[in-house]
Amino acid sequence: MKSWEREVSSHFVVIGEFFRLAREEDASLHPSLREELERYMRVRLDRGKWIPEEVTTFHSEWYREFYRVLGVRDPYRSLKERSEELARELLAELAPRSLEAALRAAVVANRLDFGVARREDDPLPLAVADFADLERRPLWIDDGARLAERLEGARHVLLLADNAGEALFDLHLLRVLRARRPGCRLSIAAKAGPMLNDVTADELAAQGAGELATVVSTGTNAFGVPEREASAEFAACLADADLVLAKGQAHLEFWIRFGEPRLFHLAHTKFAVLDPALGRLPAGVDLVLSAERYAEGRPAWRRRPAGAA
Amino acid sequence: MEAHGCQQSSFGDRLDAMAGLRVVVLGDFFLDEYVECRLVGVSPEMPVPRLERGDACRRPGAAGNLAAGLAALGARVTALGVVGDDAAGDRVSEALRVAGVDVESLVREPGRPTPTVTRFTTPAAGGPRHYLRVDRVPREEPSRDSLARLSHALGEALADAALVFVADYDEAGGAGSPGAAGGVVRTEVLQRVREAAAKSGARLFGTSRLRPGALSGFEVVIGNQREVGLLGVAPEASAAEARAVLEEHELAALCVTCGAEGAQWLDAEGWRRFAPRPSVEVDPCGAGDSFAAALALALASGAGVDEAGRLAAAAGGLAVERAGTEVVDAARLRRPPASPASPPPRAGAAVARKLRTLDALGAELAPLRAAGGRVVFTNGCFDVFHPGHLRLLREARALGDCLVVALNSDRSTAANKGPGRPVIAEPERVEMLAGLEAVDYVTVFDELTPVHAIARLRPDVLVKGGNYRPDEVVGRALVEEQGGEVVIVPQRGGFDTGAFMAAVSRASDGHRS
Repeated sequence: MKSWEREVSSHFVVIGEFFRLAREEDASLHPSLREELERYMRVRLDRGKWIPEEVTTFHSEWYREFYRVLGVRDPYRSLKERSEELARELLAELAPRSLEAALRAAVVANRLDFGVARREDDPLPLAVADFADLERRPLWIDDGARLAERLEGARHVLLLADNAGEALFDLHLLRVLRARRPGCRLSIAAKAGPMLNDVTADELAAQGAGELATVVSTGTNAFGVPEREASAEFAACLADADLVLAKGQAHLEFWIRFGEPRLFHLAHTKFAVLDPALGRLPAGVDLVLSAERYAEGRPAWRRRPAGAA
Repeated sequence: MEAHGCQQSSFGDRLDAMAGLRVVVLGDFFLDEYVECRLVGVSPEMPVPRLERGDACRRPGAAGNLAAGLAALGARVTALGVVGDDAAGDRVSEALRVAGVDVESLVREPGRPTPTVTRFTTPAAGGPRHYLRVDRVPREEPSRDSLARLSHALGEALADAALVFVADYDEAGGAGSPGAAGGVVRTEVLQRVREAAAKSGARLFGTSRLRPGALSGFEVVIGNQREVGLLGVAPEASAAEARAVLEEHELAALCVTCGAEGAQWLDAEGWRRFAPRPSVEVDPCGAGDSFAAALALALASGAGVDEAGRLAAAAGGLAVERAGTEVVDAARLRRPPASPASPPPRAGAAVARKLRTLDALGAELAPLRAAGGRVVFTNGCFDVFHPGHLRLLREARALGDCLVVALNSDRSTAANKGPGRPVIAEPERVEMLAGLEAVDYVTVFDELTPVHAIARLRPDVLVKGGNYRPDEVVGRALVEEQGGEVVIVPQRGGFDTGAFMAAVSRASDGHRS
């Protein structure tokens, strides 16, 4: 997804919340730092300065700047913990048993996102009511049947996690899948380090995900998995997997330029996505989207470590 | 032996005390020439190297270098000597005048060659390398008329001088009587100096290439190990043995410069050592003069031996970091030496002097700020350096007392400018900036924005080049809320990197077609 196709406000919306949370971690942070970061981006956009073509690259670099400038490690830590608490409560109440229900619940749980789309002081974005009528709820794109078919025959399923809290729904999905397909190898990949409220590989491991699946670090805290930053472990896992479940908007915007037909997107869109093969996917819709709809003619993802051609 | 380290303390107060002192430098004024050459092969005429001559730079040498060094430290210096009434003499006089030395009493003798040392250098990593030295020195003593005029001027000049520094650089006559050949420092001149100094109360310092023994009765003789050895002081001499030499020559003190090992001082209390300033040596030529100038002037201004030694060691250390006999001025000495946190030099002495981490820079700027100095800051990628950049930096420097340039790292430049950038890698961009006189410090930042650097350094003036509105200058709020100001230096002459690269690309396309 091209950076210039993304609504301009999305480049600014994180700054306020990030700064607010960072000040909870370090009260000495000067208020002017927020103003300066906003100024930098405004001038860059207003004056037509170069920005990375891919929005996931652009935002990875831009949000990393917040961490660098403010010198904080993980200002979203407390929000992630709240998300996990809420997810536990919801799962305890919902306990989706069928594979279909667990899949749908994992899609809805993608709304549990305190990151890019959230405004300052938004209330918690998820409640039990959001999970009502899971299996009858219409999806903007519903490739669920195709996914179910692929799940039945899969040897190795890799899930690319997105938000903290939501990840508990992902683990629940994998739990249900394991019960159904005990011989299927399961892996779950997450970021190597903090990026907004996204779950990290370390956090998954701390939640006991390792008892259920192989926990893999993508090797980066970027959105998606940039080829030059990916870990060898992730690349090997991806190469071996015959089915990939990619959660969330960022993975949708990242993987959509590649041709990986074994990939399915499970997401609640936060921003509209434009693609020649898919047309316009509006913001605020749920998807179970097979990459086969767009993969033809697009290059395969391939790890290219720094320094390689 | 005590060792007195070259500490990271400010010399500001001492330099203030040194400024304005009247100093007379009497001796052999040379013209130093540095001629850049390029080795292009072997001569077709004879099997000898063939050099292609490039630019030449000329500076006062020998006593002239000492005089210029004293003037650079703030002294009011009068040059006393005899030079030829030739082009070289014109150059020496003019160069001394430009350096702030009074040359009205410099005797110009028709028919006498001005002593000239020409050093042919070839380029090498880390600075020019001496390839060949050619000397032209007078073989005849100065005329009676010249010596009479010198003697007369001496009496007048010493009347209100705080310090007289006799600099005997004549090496042509051998180690016999002073001025056995063409030198100015002759027995009768030295006698006149002693009389005049005794009358005026001026302190007597001296140095001699071959005849330090002629400087008996002086307060301090400064020389390198070979020169001081001519007095009979062995390197391992005990304090008692060395004091015996002092008594024999009626000297109050000796100072032995030991190059990279620092210096040693001997007086009635015994030996003490002045530790060298950590330096990246480019060219040791003239470092001894810088050391001597600083030592003598500091002592003449009332400094104790230890303080004077530290200052002199700092001056000597700074002098070796530049090619040629460029003097060390008070401004350079006011800056404390680099802290251990500074990064190692990546390319050349200029980089070593100017490149600093953010942490080290903060500490290094503290004395300047405490003295009321204004720190000017600008930032950029400075990729494909062009006249617009140069003009911006010169204008920025003029706005304060010190210019810090924060440079985007390669990663930051690529993230801001896109594929194919930077064109020029970070080490070379640092080197270019550090090589500019207008730039005092360079610091590299890896973030997308200079916000962190500005927040840490809190400059007094934030400069932005280009056609920006004030509200578009990143860092504006951080600077203004501390009472600083933002200055926008508009583009002039149409030079901006984008237009420049487009022009280069068009020229390249035209060349190919």
